[in-house]
Amino acid sequence: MSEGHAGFMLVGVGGGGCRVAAAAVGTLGAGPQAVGFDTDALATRAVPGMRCVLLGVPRLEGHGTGGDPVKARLAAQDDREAIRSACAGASLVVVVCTLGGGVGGGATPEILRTLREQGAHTLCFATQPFAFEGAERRAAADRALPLLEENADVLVVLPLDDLFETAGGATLAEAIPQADDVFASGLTLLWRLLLTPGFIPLGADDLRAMLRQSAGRCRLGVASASGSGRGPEAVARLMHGPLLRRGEGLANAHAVMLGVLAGSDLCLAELSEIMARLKAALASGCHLRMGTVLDARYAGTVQLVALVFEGCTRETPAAAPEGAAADGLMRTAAPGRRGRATGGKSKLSFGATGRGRFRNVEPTLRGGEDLDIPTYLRRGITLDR
Amino acid sequence: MPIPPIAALEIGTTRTVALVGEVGDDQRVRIIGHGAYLSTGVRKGQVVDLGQAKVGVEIAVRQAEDRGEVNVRQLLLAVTGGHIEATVNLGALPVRARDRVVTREDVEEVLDIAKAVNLPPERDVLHTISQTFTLDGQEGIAKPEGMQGTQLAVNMLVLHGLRNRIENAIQVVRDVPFEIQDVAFGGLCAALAVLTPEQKRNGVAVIDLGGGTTSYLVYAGNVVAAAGSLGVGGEHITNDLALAFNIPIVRAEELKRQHGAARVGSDSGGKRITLPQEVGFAERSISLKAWHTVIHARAEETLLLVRAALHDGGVLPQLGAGVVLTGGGAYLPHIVELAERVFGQPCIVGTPRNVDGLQDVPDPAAYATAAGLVLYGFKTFQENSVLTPLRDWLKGVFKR
Repeated sequence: MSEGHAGFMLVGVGGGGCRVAAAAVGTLGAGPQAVGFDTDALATRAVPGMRCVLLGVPRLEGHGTGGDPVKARLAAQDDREAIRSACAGASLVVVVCTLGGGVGGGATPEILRTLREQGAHTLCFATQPFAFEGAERRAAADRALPLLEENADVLVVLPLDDLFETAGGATLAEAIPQADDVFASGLTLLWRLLLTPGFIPLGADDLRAMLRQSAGRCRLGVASASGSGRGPEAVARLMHGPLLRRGEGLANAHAVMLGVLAGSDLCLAELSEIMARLKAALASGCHLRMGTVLDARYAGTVQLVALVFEGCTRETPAAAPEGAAADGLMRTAAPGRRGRATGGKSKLSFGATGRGRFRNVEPTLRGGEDLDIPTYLRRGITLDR
Repeated sequence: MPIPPIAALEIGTTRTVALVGEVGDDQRVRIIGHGAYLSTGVRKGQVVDLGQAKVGVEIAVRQAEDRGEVNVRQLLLAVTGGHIEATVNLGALPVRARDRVVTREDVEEVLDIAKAVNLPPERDVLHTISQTFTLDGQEGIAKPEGMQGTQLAVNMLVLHGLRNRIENAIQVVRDVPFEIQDVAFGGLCAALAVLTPEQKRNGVAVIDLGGGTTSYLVYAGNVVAAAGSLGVGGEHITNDLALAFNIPIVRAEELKRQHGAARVGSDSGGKRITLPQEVGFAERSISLKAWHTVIHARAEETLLLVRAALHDGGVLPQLGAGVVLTGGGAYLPHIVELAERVFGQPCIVGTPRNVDGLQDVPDPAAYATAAGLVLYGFKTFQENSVLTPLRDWLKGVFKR
């Protein structure tokens, strides 16, 4: 890791996660410090150009988990020390995993938790399996999402079916690498943006600020265009692409972080047009941050990467102090406001989670609040850990 | 004619309780048999699985039968749940007699008018409780018969609930099979069991902190002035803890009992609860302060919701005798001081003082609803037998 990267780290978890992380590292060259975690010794050897740590060797003897997330979780728990030392010094970690199998869904929450305990901010990218992979893998992914959401500062969920749509009539053999490509290119873009000193910098501090404010979930949008009219073209692709739900994702956004990567031939007018078009698609009051990176290798093209945060907690009230009780109802978070809690996030952005054992019963609603969701979450009370 | 024993059943969210009581020579009700079994198939006071709930009923009633050496065929059922609401309905009537003296017929008619509440078709009336009468604008008259005036009015507190929810609970009991003699609101029963006549006169709120629901009932000026139920209870505290600290529900419940507190005290700072290793969960520790913070947040919110309901009902200033907490949740450490702070009133834990025979149970407040239901049964029996003797009542419980 070069010193300039100031505690950034890229972590791939499981076979898919390592593959994507390695692809991102490959395009970045001497880029960020990266490490992969997997239980399968054969798979880790097949990952080029990236250090991989084998988890749970005494337990699994270097084999895969056979799609069992419990085995993976135990393996990660066994090797928390190894995870700590592999990620020592990292302050902002991007964790990549693919859900549906064992390690991605099982080990990632443990790794995120370990990182959080070390004081690192985490941004987790997780893919949901293709629909054709079957209901079982989809269900495994759905089971893992709440755990990821609980342990990551920000969770970016990428349904592979959305990526697949961009692949058009691709064959199966093309679809997965292509999906990996989109995923990796989004990561790469984000990474360059964070690490390259640009004219309009968008640094880790900005991302950390967003992470602190966000209520957990975010979408990733990636688009590129070249030639004349590249700016409007790229924005149109970004806005109307399936990754951002054809504009719906932007309309509901509370904050957007846009990265523009272009050749040094990028004009000011092009940049302002990109911003104007994007702004028009956002709700008023949406917080938009932009950064640019100019690179001669990208002459004639423009690439856009957008992190679209769907919930912000800038107005979260302070935790209720003990002793003031009678008027406490007033301080209770307003209906629909997302609370930030447990040192990271609210679970409210997920319909099915946060309700625990009340998941399948009629909710207790009062004044627009779902009382089945823990009070400390709704009030935005931060818990000591 | 001796009054036969009466059996009462409460299908709670955490526990199903059955009690058999009889009236002694001193006219006090004595519990002769009690049974309790963990409830499954009940969420927030609602039966969600008939079969599972039935198991709890069978075992609890059998225990009560064995201890009381009786056979139960009929019983009374307590119902609760967030669907139970109270509506105040006004009945008014011009005094007909030429001398404008209120007759017994006037009183009965105005009560009938006030009882006739227009409810949505899916709701059933559980109780109608008359408030004091008003005669030509003069309020607070307890017995208007014989007084002079032109306009007689009375407010009726009508407690009602969703028919389907009540029917589900009844169905569980019928499946066993037992017959149902009567159905009563759990919050009303708890109040019957724990309150003194003096508290009722001075104004008091009874809050029954159940597993799945929190029911409340207010006496103001010796009449029931407000009542209701929230679908939030002790189970929510357990669920909050399980989610906050990522532990299984069963473990969270157990630890709540060991380390629960409704306040975040200065003494909890720096202390930790150690969780031993379990399958799939490594050994770790939890900050006691965070643990108490989660419990305090939920307990305070629940009490504040009750306070808001009492405020809306206009009865908050009438609690001269303060607040009485009952139900299993009343045993949460420091809940009394929390309630005192929330209501700004003295607060005590109420145990079933109006019945005997529950001295041996470790947590009598958790039996308040069922004990009150036994009292309610005898009260109804005595009132009914004065007017129209009900032969069916005699068949409820047989001495072995």
